[in-house]
Amino acid sequence: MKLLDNIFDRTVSGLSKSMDLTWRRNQAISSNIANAETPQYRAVEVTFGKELERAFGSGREVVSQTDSQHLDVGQNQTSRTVPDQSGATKPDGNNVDIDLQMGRLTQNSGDYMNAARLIRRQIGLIRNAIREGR
Amino acid sequence: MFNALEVLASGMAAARMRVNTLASNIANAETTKTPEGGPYRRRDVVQVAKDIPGSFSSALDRMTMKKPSIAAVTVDQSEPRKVFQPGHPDADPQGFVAYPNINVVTTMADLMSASRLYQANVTAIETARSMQNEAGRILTQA
Repeated sequence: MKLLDNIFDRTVSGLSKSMDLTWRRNQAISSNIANAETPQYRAVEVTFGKELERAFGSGREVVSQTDSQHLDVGQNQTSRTVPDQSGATKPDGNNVDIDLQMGRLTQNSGDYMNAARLIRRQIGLIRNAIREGR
Repeated sequence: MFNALEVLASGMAAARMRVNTLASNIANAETTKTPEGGPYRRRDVVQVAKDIPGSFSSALDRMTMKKPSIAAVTVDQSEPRKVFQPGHPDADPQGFVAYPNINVVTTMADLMSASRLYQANVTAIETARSMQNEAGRILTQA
């Protein structure tokens, strides 16, 4: 991504990180929908860590944790798959809230597609510059 | 990409199996004679979540996704519902006919819920496809 960063500043690498993470989240939502009626299945969700902030940030203001006893400044948190506690557990031990998941599916895919469109626009700008605006 | 689609396709297959089983239960709610003898017995699906296969998947994939699968179809072993119908060809010597233990109303409700679940899986597949299309356009239409 070094070369890309030189051409596009950090926007494109930040957006592609964002696509990575929203795709991961789409996988979790898909699994929840597929297992909406599987007894004992526990819903999962993907929490976003600080990767996005890092990818978009200049990198200079990043505070690093130099000692394990220092307070966690949050810069090293990564996105994780965690249990999704938002739905009520049904008698069969399943806690998928299908309506909530369908809503998230739409929201999340919109985020993904918007990031893809923005990357396309960025590349279009460079192309425009190469062609000297013609 | 493939994993998400594979998981959703399994979701569709499981939902379809559920629909078929429930449809069979509704269709046979009044069936008093079967090749195995006695009335039709209610079928129920046993659905489990499986880990996705190791090849082509990362540890993160396996943590995030589980694949639904129908482990078994069980046959209801409860005592049939007895209805007093003397003269019915399937009546016992006391005049009672054994009917399946099927509540058509709740089965119908389950059927509707299963078919909605099937649609939800289809919607999620369509969503994954439009996401991939949009990503592909970065290459083709930049």
